[in-house]
Amino acid sequence: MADRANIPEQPILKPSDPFASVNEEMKADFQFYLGLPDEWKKENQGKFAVIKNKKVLKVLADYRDALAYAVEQLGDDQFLIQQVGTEDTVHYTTQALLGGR
Amino acid sequence: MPSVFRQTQNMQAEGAILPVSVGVPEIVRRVLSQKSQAIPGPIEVHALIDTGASCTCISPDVCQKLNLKPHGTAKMLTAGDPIYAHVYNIYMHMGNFGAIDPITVFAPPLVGPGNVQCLIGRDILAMCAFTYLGYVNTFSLSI
Repeated sequence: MADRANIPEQPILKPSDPFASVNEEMKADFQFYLGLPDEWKKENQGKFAVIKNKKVLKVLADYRDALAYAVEQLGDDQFLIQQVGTEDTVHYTTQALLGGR
Repeated sequence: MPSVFRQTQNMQAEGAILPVSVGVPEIVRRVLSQKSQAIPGPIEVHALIDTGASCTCISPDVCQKLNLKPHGTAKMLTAGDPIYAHVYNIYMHMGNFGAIDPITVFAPPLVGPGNVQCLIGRDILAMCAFTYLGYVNTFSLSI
């Protein structure tokens, strides 16, 4: 029988955090958006919501208009522009090719 | 139709890579200029034309150098489980194409080493004609 004391401690595998590469403010604003009522999402389906500090600042029909509005109101700051109803859209990339140098 | 032609020694090994210039989009440059704040200059990066990428991606390191602020988040599927990446708006200049400004890009976390800092995805390719002539190590991109 193996001596249990000699068995190296195994790392506990935790499920990876899908938000690990997103900063806390963005995560909070996105989670705020996810929690908005379904009725609101239905009314604004396909439009672009400008969200900052867990508040919906404006909903616009076009992404460029939403970006212009957000920059006009918030300047060179972080914000979330979220197209309503596309939160589950998955984008694909060959990530392993992307380097940092 | 503006075009870029490239020939490499071994395109199978290197891929269809072209130099592009990325920078702060005009809409943000205007704000910085009004506040008399410094505007980081554009950065030259190597971009790989990647028909496997649904969207154009950029290294988070480049975004940091340009002091860009994220304008969203998006779910991305790479090698493992889906993850969320920051979304940025940038300016991109490719060869004699002129600038695409703004263009929305994704910044997934880094995995691989290498000199590729940008993946030109199918969002840009949707506006282009891309010809890959592997037997003569040449490609062309027209927009």
